[in-house]
Amino acid sequence: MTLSPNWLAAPIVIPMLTAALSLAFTRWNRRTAAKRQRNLAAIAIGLNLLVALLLLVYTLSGNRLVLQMGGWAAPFGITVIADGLTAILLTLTGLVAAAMLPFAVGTLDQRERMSFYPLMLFLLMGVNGAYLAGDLFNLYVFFEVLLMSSFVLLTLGGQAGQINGGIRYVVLNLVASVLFLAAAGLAYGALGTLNMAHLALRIPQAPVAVQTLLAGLLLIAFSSKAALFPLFFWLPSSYHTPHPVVTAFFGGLLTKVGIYALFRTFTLLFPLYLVEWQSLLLTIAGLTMLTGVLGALAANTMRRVLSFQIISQVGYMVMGLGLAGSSDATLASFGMAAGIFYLIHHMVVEVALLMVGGATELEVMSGSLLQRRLGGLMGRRPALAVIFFVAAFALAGMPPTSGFVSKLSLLQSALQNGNYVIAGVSLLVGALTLVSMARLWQHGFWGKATEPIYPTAPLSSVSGRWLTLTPIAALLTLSLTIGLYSAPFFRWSSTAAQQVLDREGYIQAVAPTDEIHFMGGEAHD
Amino acid sequence: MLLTCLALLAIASVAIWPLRPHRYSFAGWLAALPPAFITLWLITQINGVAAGQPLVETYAWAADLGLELSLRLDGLALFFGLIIAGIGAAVALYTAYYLEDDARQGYFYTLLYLFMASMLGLVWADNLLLLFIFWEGTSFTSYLMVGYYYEDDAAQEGARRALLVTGMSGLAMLAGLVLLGQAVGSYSVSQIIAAPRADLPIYEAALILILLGSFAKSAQFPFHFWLPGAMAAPTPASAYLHSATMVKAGIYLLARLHPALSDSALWFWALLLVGGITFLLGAVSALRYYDLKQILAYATVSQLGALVMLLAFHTTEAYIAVVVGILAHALYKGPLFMLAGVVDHATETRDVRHFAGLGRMLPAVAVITTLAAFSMAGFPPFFGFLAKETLLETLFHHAAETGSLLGWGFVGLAALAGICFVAYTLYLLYEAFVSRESSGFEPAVVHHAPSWGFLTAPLLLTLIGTLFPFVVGLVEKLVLSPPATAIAGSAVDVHLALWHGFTPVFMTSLVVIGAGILLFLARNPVRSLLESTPPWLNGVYQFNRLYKGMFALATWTTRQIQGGTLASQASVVLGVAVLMLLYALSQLHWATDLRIDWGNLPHWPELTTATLAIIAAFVTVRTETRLNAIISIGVVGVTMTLFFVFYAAPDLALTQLLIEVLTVVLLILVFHKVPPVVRPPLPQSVWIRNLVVSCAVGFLGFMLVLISAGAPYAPSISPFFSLNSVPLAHGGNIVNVILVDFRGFDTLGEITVLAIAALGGYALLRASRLRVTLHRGRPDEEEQG
Repeated sequence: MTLSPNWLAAPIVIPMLTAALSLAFTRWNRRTAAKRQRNLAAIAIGLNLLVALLLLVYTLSGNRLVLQMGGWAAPFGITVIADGLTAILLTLTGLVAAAMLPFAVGTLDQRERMSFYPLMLFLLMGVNGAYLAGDLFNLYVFFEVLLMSSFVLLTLGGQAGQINGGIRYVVLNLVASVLFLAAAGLAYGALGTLNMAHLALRIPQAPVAVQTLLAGLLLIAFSSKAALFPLFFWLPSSYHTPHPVVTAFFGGLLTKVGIYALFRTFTLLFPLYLVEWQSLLLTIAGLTMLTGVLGALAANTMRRVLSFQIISQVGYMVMGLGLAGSSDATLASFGMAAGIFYLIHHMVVEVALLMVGGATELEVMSGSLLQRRLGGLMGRRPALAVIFFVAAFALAGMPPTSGFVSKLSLLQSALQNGNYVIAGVSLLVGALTLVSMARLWQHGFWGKATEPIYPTAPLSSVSGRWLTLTPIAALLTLSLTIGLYSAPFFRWSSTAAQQVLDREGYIQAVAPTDEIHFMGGEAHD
Repeated sequence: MLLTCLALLAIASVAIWPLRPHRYSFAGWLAALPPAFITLWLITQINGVAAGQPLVETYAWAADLGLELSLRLDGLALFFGLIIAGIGAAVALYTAYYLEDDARQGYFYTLLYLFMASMLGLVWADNLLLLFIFWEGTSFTSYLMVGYYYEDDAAQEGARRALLVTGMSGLAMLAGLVLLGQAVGSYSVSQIIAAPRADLPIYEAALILILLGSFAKSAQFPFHFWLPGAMAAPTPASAYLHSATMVKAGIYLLARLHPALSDSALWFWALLLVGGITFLLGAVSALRYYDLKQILAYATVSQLGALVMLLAFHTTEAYIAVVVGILAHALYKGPLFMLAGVVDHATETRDVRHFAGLGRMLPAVAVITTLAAFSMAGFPPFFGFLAKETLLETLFHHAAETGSLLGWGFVGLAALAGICFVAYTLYLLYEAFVSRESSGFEPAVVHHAPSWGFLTAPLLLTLIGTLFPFVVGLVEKLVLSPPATAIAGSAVDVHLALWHGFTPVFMTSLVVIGAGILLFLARNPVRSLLESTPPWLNGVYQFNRLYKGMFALATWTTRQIQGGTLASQASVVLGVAVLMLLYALSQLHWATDLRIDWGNLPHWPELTTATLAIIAAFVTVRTETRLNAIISIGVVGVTMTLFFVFYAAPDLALTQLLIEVLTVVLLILVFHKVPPVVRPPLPQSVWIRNLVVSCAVGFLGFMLVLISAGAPYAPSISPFFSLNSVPLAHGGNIVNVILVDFRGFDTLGEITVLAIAALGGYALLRASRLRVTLHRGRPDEEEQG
């Protein structure tokens, strides 16, 4: 099968053009504006998902697809490239967006009319672009797109809490961005190129100190984006402030971009540091898991608990990256595959849980675990209860959901490598996640009902129920499918892992040249 | 067919909730059909399995992860399967009466079937990981069943405790199972138990982890406390999960892995001591309570301890005693719980102090209870007597063989526990049915007598248990030998008889019964002695302390980490970057790595401009008024512009200048309307921290520039742009060509960022002007970020 490389532009161009077009319909006072934007977003998200699936099928048969933007050969122009990992993430992102759309329609308040859908599409563009980037500075540009669109989504509505959280979000993220930019500048200054394949070839030529500096700066910048210990402050400060739709969307997409960037740079640019810094990466992973889950235990509102859980879960993926630093190639590949497998599971389940948690909050207009405002929803909202239970305990690793198999694969990898400490930490954190999820479940659904259901709660109407619950149920069905049919999903993860670890293949596909010629010739004059 | 059985239960569990069975009086009889069917099918398999031909079903799952859907029906699996499905059918029948007119009945049945499927899967699984999956399945269904009366705080707490204790230890067990599987090279149970594995390097670690899981699940000391708490569940769940089946999962796993793991001193002593302590502890504790279900729960704990203790041994007697013990216990404890539920249902209390002459009001209940309870006490010729005989025989045998004092000590321990068994059985029967006075409490009244349907299930099970010893000779080869063989790993021939003559074991039994009657008579002083134990000896007390301590620790750490100001959080991020720089500098060879052309140092215009920029930056930070700050920011910007001029980039300089002017104008416009803010001076520590961080970050920036500014370590690609800008891109201004052609894709992204920023600014302005009424959380629950 051959595929035109131009397809790679689609996941960026489709959301961007649709967003730009739908801005023309912005009428903040009229409901119809949201309706048109909604329809346009539906088309864009549908198309985006189809393209992502196409790329997925293509790359998982072992191919890479490379597009040199504007026809300028690497490393002179900008390279856009997709391999298995990219396509998996594009597909998951597309799925999350597709699930988010009906959920947004079902639950959003007036904020729906404040250009919510165009912003959602811009965010989608930024995330997709980051996954596709084959150029360090281009990656930075898409980080900016997603940072700006997420910042606007975060503050959309302008509540005091949103502004407070938004400021922390944007300042801390900009600090990380500046470090990223500094690293890009250093790369260009020291090695004369920004193309990642080209950098991969040239990095060994730099002195060790410069390599360390580059690897370290990128590690810090991406760790901050991925909300790793000790750089995750922005996440718990902000994620609980916007509308639950926004929180769910962020929870599925944002930190994963940081994780992806870590996966990509450390396998492609710094394979030696992946081995040398294995214990550093595993320590970061363990501390991230632990501090995240402790934060979840300390937090007292539904969404703050879930925000801290994102951090804790991200640690597991870094654990996969750390295990990929094993000196044994088979074990390294298995560790990477486990990390990618976990990423797949996590994006599906985390979003579902944040959605159902948000829907629960909207029922009683409170997420507080202290004042017993939540509670007794089990009798009144049985469908919500079933969905919440599955989502919460899928996150805690309950079989037969994807949570169990993904945790199992990491555990097996760690034990096989002899990394007993991280294996123990991952199990301990799994146990504490169980505590925190049982706490949420019991506060929300057990106990006596003290608070009346909010009159405009999304689940009060039939259409609201369908719009809100169906996408969550669909995501959980996917999680169960991953758990029950783990073989193909793990095989795909393995294929992606082998591609990610195959540096030579990546460099060959991009084919950067060191030769600089005058290419004009006489034809021009 | 094994998988079909599981699928049947899974389908039944999904189907029954929406059917709302509480509306039909015959629901129980229908609900009992699936497990009854499985029981009958299992009975048809007995002959084949007893002949040594296990039924094996294998389906592929995820080989990369060692997961395989393989089920294996051997002697032990069949034995447990019969108990699970058989008692399951009885419980399914009983549930409809116990939960009559309860709208949540369908929900309960859903959980019941799910549990049943998990439990059957657990004992049939031939893959360690599959076994674990079903193990977790029983934990979660048990959690939901204990929390069935979810409005009730005790139910919530009991459920949480049960889930946390079994779930957390289950995770430890998973690590043990994975270690074992990886070391053997297969997760297949039948392969693992094919040989003793005590010589594996990870043996001790794996064994300890597996024991942790098994002990917690089977309520062994010090995890035993979750089981009495789980009594908040509806009684059918208590009868089924918390006495007959789920709590035996740990026993099952130990029995299953016995051929592989038991060949070590660690195994022997761990099981002997933990089991022995639990055996005695449970038996003594049962004397203390008034609640029927609490008494039965501690009796169960004790019985489970006895089974664990028996599994320590390697003798034929021990294997037989385990099998007999499991079956006898299931057949008397299940009905006893059910009968407690019947009494509870009829009188709305389970507190024995309220009962006065209940025997005459509920004669049928009294008769059945007595039959089951005599088995529990181990009176001859009941089934429990056989169990106690085999247990004592094992211990006698061991003591005689080793001749050690400890061996006889365990005989004494068993006798002591047996005395307690007799005493609380008599106490329970006496207080509930015989005693005419309600010890000062309001006497219980029978609101509505139980129907015969309600009594059918306990009656059937009790009858089977009562008759079993008399037909044991007929069925022992088929029912008891195969599981004993599976535990032993080699053929065991079970031969049981009620009467062996006046052996020492029989004499001991008689003494135990006599002493038990004495203890029953002296029950009140014993109880007050037990009640005077300090609270910290209680497992629940320690668990709650641990639980609260964990939250306190979580709150403390989180406050330490997340509680800071924005400035301190940014300092951490920047500080980490500086640390990383220092680490990188430690690797730097200053002489060779830095390729600075020291002959080409900045001249005075650059130096002057730089000094000006530094001064302006200081002014920006230190000045009191906003206007000054804005102007000095403008100065910093203009000096930057000058650098572009020095390096002959007039177009960049122009752009930069425009931006700087625009920024200054906008800032003045915006801040013009904002009232001045007087800030309190910073505390000195913060001031110093800011100073240190600023200097360190300045150093970071300086070093980065120093390294980047030197000659590159590889040739730059930039000549390509100057060479080809005109011929290929047809543009004379290289910067412009790069922006719109070579790297036009970046520019597309950047202008999108600008558009989004504009949209965001507009949104913020509009939101405040529109005064939209958004859904909002209540202000009192806003937390500090």
